[in-house]
Amino acid sequence: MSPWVWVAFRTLRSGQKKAGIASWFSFVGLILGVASMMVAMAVISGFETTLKEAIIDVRGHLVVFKQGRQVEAPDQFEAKLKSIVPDITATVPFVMVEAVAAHKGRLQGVIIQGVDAALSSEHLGIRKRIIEGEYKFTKEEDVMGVVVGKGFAHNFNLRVGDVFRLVMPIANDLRPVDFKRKMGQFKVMGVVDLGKHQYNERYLVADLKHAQEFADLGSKYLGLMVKIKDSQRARSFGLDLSADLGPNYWVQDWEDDNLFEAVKVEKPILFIVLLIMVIVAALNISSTLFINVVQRYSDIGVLKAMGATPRWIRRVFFSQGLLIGAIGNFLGFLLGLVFCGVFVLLQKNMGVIDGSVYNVDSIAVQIRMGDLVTIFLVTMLICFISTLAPAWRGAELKPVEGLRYE
Amino acid sequence: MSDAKEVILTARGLHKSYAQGAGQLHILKGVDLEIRRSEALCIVGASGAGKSTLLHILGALDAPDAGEVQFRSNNIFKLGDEALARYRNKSLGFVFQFHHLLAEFSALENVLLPARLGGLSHEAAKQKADILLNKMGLSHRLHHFPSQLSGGEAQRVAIARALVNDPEILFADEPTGNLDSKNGLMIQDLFFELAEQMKVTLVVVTHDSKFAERFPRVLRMQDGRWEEGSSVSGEIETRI
Repeated sequence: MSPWVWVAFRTLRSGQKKAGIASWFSFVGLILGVASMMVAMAVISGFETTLKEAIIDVRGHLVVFKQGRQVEAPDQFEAKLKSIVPDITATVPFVMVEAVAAHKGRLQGVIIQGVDAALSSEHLGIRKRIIEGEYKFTKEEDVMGVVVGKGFAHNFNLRVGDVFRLVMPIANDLRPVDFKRKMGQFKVMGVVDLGKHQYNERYLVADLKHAQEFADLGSKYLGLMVKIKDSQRARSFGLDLSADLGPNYWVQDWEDDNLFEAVKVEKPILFIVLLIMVIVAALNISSTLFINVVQRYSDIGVLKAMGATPRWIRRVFFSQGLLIGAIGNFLGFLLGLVFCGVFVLLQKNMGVIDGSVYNVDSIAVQIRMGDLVTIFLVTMLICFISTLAPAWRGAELKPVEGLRYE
Repeated sequence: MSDAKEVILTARGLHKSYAQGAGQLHILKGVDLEIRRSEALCIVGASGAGKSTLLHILGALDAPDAGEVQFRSNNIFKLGDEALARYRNKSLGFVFQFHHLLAEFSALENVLLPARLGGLSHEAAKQKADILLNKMGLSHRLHHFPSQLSGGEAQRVAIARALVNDPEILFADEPTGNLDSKNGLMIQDLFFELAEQMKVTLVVVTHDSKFAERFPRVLRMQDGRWEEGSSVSGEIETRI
């Protein structure tokens, strides 16, 4: 161990003691600042991931559809897309129709997402989100089996096996202002947590053929849900597809949700706001180190008399600042972990997240290594900067000034 | 007493003033001095005569307003920070009235620190410090902290610390001023024994006339100058 590190470590603790309880408060402030940044980043990252996973599980990485109804065979359409983006790993044809649910005197607008049971099981993530019943779409006589979002099930007090009605207005091709009413009976085969509040409240997942039949679509489908190798490239592939397919096609990627834009803006703002807490703590630490320097004038004088250079003295105080930063980071991360655990428990037991406000019913807290590294480096930098003034004061002290100080 | 030994430290025309209120307090008024290798020199004088200020300047702990100090023909105040620190570390040792040991370090650690500063490994420095503390009769106190040592023991540790890098000159500013007579006498004996054994040049400032009497060369300061009769070249033995 370098002698300045040795001296820095050994004298830091007694310096803290000499500076009194104020120094401990500033250290606690640093720990709380680091913990707050960690929790905030973990919650925001978790929110982002929760939302992303929900969208990708329900709709794939990209959704490509044609204005009007798609008539091209799904296989041909898929081949066309793959010729533009070879990274496409799978496609799932789908229809999406709006209807009104009517049950026990209650009405609510819903969206029926019709997908092939086998393809969606393999390539989408809805099946793994089933919380009650099964992911299957049987049809007995005129009653079609569907999987419903947990919010919808809750609103209509539906359990697995219950039957309810849907009413759908079907436009008259010749006179678009005229609608005919189509009614159908549906049986709850499973209840699913689709991750996103809006999906849970309004989504029903049905078999593609059943949905086509109910909506009088024949074999027409709306478009393809597309899976690719790397979800992070969805936006660029979406732009490629849009450019090649022309204006009659719409392409949406999973990032098209405005919430992602909001998160992108909010995350750095929140980081900076919480960083102010760390900066305030670091300023307090700086004043503690200043007190330490003043109280150690005599020691600094002796060290210089023994041959310590100004650079050596500076290194002692830099090491102290960095040590405070490192310990503050470590304890802050530990406290942050505890806070994250408490947050997860509160979500589970008290439902602190209001889905209608935040669009998700729960957030899987996600601690990203990148966030931790950023917090660590920024905190260390601030702690280092906070040592500059005390270190300079100590280094510039003349030995004789220190020796006179008692 | 004539001495043919080489001059290792020379001071010429040293002036030093300190601000006092609106004015200046002129402490040193053109002091000259030559110190020869392995001699034992004592500087005495009344409080405020400028003895400690002179010692600090000779020891490169403070700079003069005018004049120069040469160590083996090199003006020490023309050295850069690094070279000046190296000079203090390798060539000089200091003992103060108060032991000035670092409170967080044991006796052994206090002694090995200058050796570490000089670039010695921890183990080598520890070995050297151990030997010195044994010589001081402190083998049973190696791992005690300054607060656990008596005044005499702490001052012996401070002497060991000053000698750990085998300096050429050992400066001591009132080294017995804070000790009782028994411990003071023991420290005096130790100074002479070690100076003899280690062939170190000894420059001591003291108020203690009995201590001063033991030195072959004594210089008296008065009001920032040498008192008449003091030999600044050391060629004539001067006694109080």
